[in-house]
Amino acid sequence: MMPERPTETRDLEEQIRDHYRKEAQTIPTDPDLWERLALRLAPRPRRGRALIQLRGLPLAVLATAAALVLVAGSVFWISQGRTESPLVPSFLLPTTAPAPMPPAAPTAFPGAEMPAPDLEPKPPYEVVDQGVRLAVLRTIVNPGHVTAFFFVVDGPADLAGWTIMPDDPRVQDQEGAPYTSHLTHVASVADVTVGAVGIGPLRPKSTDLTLLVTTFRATSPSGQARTIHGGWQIHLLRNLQSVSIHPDSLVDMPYIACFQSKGVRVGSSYYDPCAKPAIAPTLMPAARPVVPPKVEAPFPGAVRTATSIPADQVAAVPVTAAPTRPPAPTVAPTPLIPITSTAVPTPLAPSGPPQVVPTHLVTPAVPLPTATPARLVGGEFTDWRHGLFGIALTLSAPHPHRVYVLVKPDGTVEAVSEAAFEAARNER
Amino acid sequence: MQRSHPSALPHDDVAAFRALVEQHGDLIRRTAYLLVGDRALAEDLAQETFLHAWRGFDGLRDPTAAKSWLLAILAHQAATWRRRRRQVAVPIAALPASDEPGDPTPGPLEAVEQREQHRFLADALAQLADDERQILVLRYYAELTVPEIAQVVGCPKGTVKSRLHRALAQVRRLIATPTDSPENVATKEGDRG
Repeated sequence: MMPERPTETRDLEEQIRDHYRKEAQTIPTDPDLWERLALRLAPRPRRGRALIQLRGLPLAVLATAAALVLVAGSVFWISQGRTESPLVPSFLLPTTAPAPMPPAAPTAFPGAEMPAPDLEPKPPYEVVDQGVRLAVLRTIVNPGHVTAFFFVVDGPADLAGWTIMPDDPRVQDQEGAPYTSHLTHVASVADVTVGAVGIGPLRPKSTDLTLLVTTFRATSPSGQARTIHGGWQIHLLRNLQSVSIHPDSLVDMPYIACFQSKGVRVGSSYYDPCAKPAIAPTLMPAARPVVPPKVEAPFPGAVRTATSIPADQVAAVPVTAAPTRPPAPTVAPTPLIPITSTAVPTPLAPSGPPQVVPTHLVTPAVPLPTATPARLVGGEFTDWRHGLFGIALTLSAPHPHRVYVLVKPDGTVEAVSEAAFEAARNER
Repeated sequence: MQRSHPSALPHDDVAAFRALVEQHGDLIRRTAYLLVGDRALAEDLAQETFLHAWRGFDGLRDPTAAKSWLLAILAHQAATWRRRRRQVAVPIAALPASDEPGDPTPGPLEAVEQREQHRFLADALAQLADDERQILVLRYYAELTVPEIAQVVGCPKGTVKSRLHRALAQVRRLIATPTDSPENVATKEGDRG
């Protein structure tokens, strides 16, 4: 008698599933897998070091050369009778003319190591004035394409349920040159308003960017409006060009990553950074620069040519190195200074429309890239060919959900539906 | 490869990666076995998969994508092995058909039928092309969705769907005409005579 065929007895898919399960069970659990694997784990090379080594320049040689240059520079400054220099470390200056030092702590004693200056105010990425808290959730920068900031506004208690948006957001660089700011309302939940500011390509000379707001406009659900005057200033970027940024790379700074206020949580990425990570805290995006695995066909969802700079490591993290334009092989590069924020009690600038620089006058910092678009994980994506970024944020209230934003080449930011977001991603 | 004790590595990274290995280790080892059909080779592929994963660990931003990410690396490792294998016979057909019964207490006749069914299916699956087998393993063992498979194997979703459909059709066809069925045996004997 012919046995009953699987297709006639059970659904074929279930048969296959069952078969594979049984076959897999013939491979017993290996309790020693980690132990054996751990012996083979090697320190992962830093990207910059790897590039240098690829070019046949041992790091030690470069370090020695840089040290010699530094010493030579200090001798030059000393011979010129200069008593202070921003380029020469204080320990290299002549003792007869010591460099200005920060005031010693009361408990300091001779020989004690001087405390490092506190460049990072607390809280680092938010500022409060007139009861309005402005915080930067996340900043993405690609010099040749876009720069966009995602922010959260937490209003005073008497404005619960109102949408509070900056009325005169102004983004300017270190010389006060303004950028055309494209302001977009993304979402409002309870007292919290989420918005975005896009400014398009970054100008070559812009190393520092500051967001200035002197007026917030609050709008109630019934259409009432109220204006709040004050001063809010956040340094979005500082010393950006001290690191080399490849045109295909993306500096992605998650800043506070998780904003919490009165039961509302806003996460800076597709998955909820406010939630506990499923595997380990170190897998949080704020702590993980992105480096492609060295496999020929890596998983596209986990690879991109972007660099995520942890908020607490902004001063030290190397930004994605460029294959065609590697970072200068300096041993002690100027760090990316931590972003600072300061509350300004009085308006810094007169109210009025932000100054506008015509887009055609804005010179891209770098030539347009031609490389394959990189793709972000977790539903986010980039499309270098079209200069499009798709960013998703998570909100915890009234129920956990995501909001989707497209950042376009001209700097405009648009909050879109999930379907539109998916469509944009699939059209890449 | 440079050897280094984990204690010399960043503690957080090691801890996180260990969690990754412990969570997905068996899945990767077993999937590797289903892909290549050789225990020793599967162990090697799994090890290489995790070593590659360690080197690219910084690239993993979304913990929920870890499974797909590891499977993608494994798929790549398996593809590399297949390319190197060239014309060497695939040991897939030698996969031992598990005798574990599907039902707790089948009767003797039922047990025989189940084993026969299992054997037919195992034979059919063993005869699949590599890409078809990969799709089925990812779909029905690793339980990936079609979009996830598309990411893992690096092809459009439509291609995954068509491969899946083609693989299932092929399995049905092979089951319908097993190589050692009485019909085939009689045909072969007739050919000899």
